[in-house]
Amino acid sequence: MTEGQVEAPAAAPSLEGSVASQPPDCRAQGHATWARTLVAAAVVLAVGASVGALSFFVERALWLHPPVTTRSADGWRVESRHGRRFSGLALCGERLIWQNGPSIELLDLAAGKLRLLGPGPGMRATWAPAIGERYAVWFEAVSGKASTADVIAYDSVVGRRWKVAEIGEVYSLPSLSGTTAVWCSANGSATAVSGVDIVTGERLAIADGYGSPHISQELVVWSAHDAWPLTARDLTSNRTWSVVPAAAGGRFAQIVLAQRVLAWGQPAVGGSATSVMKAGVGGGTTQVVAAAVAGLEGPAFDGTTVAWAQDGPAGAGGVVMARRGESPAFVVATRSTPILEVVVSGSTVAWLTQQGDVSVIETGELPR
Amino acid sequence: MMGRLGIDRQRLLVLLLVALWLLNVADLALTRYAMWLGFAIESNGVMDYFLRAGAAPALAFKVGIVSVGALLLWRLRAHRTSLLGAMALCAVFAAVVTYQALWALTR
Repeated sequence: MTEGQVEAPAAAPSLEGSVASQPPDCRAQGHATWARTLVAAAVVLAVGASVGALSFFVERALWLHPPVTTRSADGWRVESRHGRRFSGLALCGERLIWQNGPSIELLDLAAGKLRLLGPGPGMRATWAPAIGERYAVWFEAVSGKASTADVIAYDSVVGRRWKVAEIGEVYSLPSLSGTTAVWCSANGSATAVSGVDIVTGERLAIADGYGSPHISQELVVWSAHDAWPLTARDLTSNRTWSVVPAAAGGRFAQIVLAQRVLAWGQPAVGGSATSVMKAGVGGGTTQVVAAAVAGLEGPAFDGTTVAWAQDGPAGAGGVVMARRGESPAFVVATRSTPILEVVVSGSTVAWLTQQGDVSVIETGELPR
Repeated sequence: MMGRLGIDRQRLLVLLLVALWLLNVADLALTRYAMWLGFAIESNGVMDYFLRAGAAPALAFKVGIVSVGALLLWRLRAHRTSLLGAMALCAVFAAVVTYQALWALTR
């Protein structure tokens, strides 16, 4: 017999029958042997399982740096860790999505469950996401300077993500409504506003040239250089027209489209203050939602409520404001640091602040 | 050592090989699930080839190769290294499946 080899038993053991036919003492000994053998197998499996569980939690703690999510008085508070910065907030219904460094994260506001959605395997760069009622969409690339990027979609009902399309250089963030996503990208020297149905994969050619598009239902609007006029295209009828609401002109600070209504920040000529305005895409009157706002961030608009952030009293900190229809504007929250981003959907407002090395997202409920 | 602890080596080998086979199937199922969700890719080139070919070829290959390996370990059961090998393989597969299961549960 060679070293490391033991004598083989005369016959393979009968695992059950031999125990039953033995006297009670032997049977008890056989059961004890079985029990000890089962325990030995369980120990082997438990050691392996422990290593697997340890790897999982160590990887999450040391490499993925998930943010800390806690309940607040009327919503959620999410804090970044290890100096990572949040950006690109988007909100639809009960789902809040943002960038955390190179990661795309989604918080289910009903359950408080945080999900890491991207970047996918092999990808290191992402751009700010867009979110709709069921789907979310964003871009991923091997690096921020890559000449191509992937359009990634996420189905929040199924919990599945997939690559919808490959595009050239990213020139604008995506905008999403229903199953249609639009963006601006460049293939070589050809820049175009285009889109895709994220479920069927059908591509949409919307316009040549640069523009940062926004979509709501079947309507897409874009502007060449953050200045009026906007170009509007109805994807159903393919009708295209120019949009310059009354009192709008020159450049705008930020524009948002919801249910064929635009909300935007209109800088005063030669002044530092900006007005928040609202008007239908098809014409009609322009409503001044807030006049002479100092340090405007936003606006955000969900078709009913306009929300924005402005400098706090005496220019310190920031204030989150909201206004519904013709009713007066009201304060949603006041913070000691400037508000960097605001989003609104239904009765929920979310905003982003930077407190030293910590990015903070907070959500609050609007009064009904 | 095993004898002194009152452990039947052959019974332990049988248990470990059955566990290995089940863990192997669980590994395939969880890998397929993570790939279907779009959060994982198969980095093993050979397995990736079979996964791309479909569920049946992947199952046949993965179950087949582990079954052959398990039979080989059983045939070599007279060697202590056979039991040690089965223990090591079981521990590794348990680690992988636990990692994948935790990932799936936290989705």
